[in-house]
Amino acid sequence: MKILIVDDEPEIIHQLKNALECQLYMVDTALDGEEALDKIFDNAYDLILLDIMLPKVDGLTLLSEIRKGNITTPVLMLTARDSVEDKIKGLDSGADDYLAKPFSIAELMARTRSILRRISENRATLLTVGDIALDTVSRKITVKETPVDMTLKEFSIFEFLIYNKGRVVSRFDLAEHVWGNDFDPFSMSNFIDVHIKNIRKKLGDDNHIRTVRGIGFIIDREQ
Amino acid sequence: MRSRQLKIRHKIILWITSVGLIVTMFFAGYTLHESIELSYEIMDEDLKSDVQEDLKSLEMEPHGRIAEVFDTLLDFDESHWIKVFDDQMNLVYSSTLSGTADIPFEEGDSGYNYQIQLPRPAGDDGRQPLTVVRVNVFDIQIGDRSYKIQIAKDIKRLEKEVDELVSIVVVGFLLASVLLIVLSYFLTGKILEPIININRLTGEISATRLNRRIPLGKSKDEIYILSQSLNSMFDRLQQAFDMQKQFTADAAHELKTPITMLHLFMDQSLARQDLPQDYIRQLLSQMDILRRMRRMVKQLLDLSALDLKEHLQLEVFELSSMLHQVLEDFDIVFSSRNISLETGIPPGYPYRGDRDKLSRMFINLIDNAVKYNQDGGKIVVKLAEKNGWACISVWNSGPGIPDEDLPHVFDTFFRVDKSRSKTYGGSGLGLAIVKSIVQLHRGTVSMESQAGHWCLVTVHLPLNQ
Repeated sequence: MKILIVDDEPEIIHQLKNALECQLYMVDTALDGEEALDKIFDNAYDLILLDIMLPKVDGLTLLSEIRKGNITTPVLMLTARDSVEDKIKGLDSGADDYLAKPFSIAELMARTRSILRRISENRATLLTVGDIALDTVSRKITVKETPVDMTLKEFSIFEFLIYNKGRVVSRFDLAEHVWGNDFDPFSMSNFIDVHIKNIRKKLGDDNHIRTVRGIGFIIDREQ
Repeated sequence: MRSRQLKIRHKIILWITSVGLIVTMFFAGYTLHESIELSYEIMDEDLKSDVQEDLKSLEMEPHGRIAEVFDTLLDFDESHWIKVFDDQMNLVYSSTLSGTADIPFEEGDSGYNYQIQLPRPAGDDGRQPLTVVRVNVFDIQIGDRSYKIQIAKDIKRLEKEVDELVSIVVVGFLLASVLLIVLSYFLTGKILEPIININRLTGEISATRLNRRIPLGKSKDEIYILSQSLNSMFDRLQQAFDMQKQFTADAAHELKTPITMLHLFMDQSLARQDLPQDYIRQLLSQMDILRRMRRMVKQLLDLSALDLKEHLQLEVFELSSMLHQVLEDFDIVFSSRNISLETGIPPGYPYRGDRDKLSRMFINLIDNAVKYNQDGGKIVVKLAEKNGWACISVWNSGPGIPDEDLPHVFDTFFRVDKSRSKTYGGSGLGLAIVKSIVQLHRGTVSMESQAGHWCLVTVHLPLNQ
């Protein structure tokens, strides 16, 4: 899996690169629109993380350029602007998803995995951990092929944890993911534990969710 | 504002009426005076002509007994008081009426009034009443001798006429006053109408939309100039506000990149599992602070986006389902704090508005109702229609808001209890966002509270837009 990060802020690139490389992705970077265009037309990437505000060629122009050049690589827009109009504009120009700054790495991982899964046809829609299988399309969970009845919230918490397999996910990030930006994640993060408790009960003893004291939860990568 | 308008109106009415009345009074007095004078003059003329007419023939016959001559000539002496003196001031002739009393002579060309007892049938009380008479004195020449004729006439009838005249003038005066008050009332309304209009428009503009202006009239009068000055004032105000909002937006925006960097860095550090516990703890509290900052920046941007752009993604949806959806998300919050929820949300209520923004508005309201509530408290959510307005009310059994703080609860960064705010975790922007969203939908939001007991927030949204 090869990912290109386009952002004019070296520190952000550095952090994103670190995080993605931890997840065993290969990462390439570009600091401005021109450099990005060159790299995109020269290499085959599986995903492009694209900042909208870029020097030389801005993100939206760059996006329509590469779409005109028949490059269908999925693009995840990263931007400091997060109004609805900007979102629509981005998606209209051919972006696959949209992430407003500041975002958590957990959210980025989830979106990244989700996009990669969505666009690749040869990959199954099933995510598995141990005996647990999660179908991202039908939004069903089975344990040893027995369906488990989960609420919408519980499903999206578990899905988020699986997408971040091998990474600790904080309560706050979980809350933000589940309830969205409109809720106050400070008050909502207190309720993640209630949900986790319920999820564990439904999945049984072999649920793979490990509590990391003081921080959050993790589903460990299988050895 | 309204009472001040009325005050000016009353003042103008008072001024117009009093000036009008003074002029009317002056005019009425002058007319009255002149008409009384005129009637006396006519009477004097009459007396003079009566006497002179009758005495014309006397000049031809200078001899004989003068008293008899007068007696025959002045044959109207039943109604007139007449005395004739010669040049030595000896009484030469007196009429039947004039036997009773003397009337002193007075200098001057015109006649004069005098009160005298006339031999008349006595009144009921047996006394002779005093009668006012009009006296005239003429000199006549008969042959070589000159005589003075003093002639007087009862002016009872004239006085009656004068009385009538006075009462007519008084009634006229009263009528004029009433007319003046009524007319000035309408006139003032007419005069103040453009000012009241401007006043209303100004109120509307400063309360809701700073980008609206007062329409300028066709004629370039004082009202036109006033509207122009107000408009240019609004221009500058709007500019200042926009600049302030733009600054807030820019500042918040610029903070996003450094916050993102810090956030990513700390995220990465926290994901490491080889760090000592106390280091992790420090990182976690730093992360908390950063998240607080992040949320504040986001809310500030939301707020300025609401203020600056005023763009709504309009769609038709049911208010009731929106409310239910949000309340469902809060289920776990309610149960964890043992807060009981009571709803009066009838199904339906289609509404055309921005669903995302309105549900955020409602989330903020419920969030507040939970945060500022006691454990085991109560929240009541109601939806109703009243005169074309959808009315969403959120009541909570929380400690409530002190009266003096109520006017400020919708201000940015306002928090009732500064010391407790951190435990509640609010940014002080939630209700400001509520207000912005409601105003974008041309609605109103208000808060009532009884400190220590309850707090009620009511949102009114116009149903027909």
